Amino acid sequence: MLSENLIHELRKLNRADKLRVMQVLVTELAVEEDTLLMPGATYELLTPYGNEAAAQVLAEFLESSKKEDQ
Amino acid sequence: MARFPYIAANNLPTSLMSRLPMVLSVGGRSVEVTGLLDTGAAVSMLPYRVGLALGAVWEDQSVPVSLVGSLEQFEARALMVIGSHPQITGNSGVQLVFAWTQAENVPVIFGQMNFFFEFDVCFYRSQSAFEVNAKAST
Repeated sequence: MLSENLIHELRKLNRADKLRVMQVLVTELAVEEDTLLMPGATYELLTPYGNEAAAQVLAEFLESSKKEDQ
Repeated sequence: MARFPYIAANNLPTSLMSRLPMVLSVGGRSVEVTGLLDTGAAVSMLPYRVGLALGAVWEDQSVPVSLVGSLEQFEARALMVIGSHPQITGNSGVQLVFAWTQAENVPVIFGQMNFFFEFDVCFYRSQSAFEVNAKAST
């Protein structure tokens, strides 16, 4: 059970530490409850989207290299 | 098919992604990389440092590749590489073409051109696993 003492101690934390505590708890809750998206979390989108024209250049490069190898 | 586990980039469970270890070679030099299997990427991408580690010389690559989006500001050039993995390609390798970008802060990405032309991949996200198979020879 959550004690008043613990709440009192948490209130004494500075802003950065409070955010850190929130982050840790939210992460743990997400894992425990199998949450699909974590509130406040940062998700990195790595996909270099929209490079179909570049893909065409690489395809032509690949094709010409194969012809040279033959 | 060779089966692989999803690999996390850090200690967050949400960072689990389909990352495939593979040996890339240019000439006599090889580098082991772990690349993200990215079906949404039109091209495969190689960060600058990996190309250098392979012994590739920027000035020798004559085919410019224009990238859009977050990588638009960085110059990129086409680079031909041999990719191999003992469980997938056996002792031989497969010719892979990359957009070699001068950007450093990007992962190795295996995209449609031409990784997914060469390899069939099945994703089992609920099992945090994926399977890779070299395409059937035609």
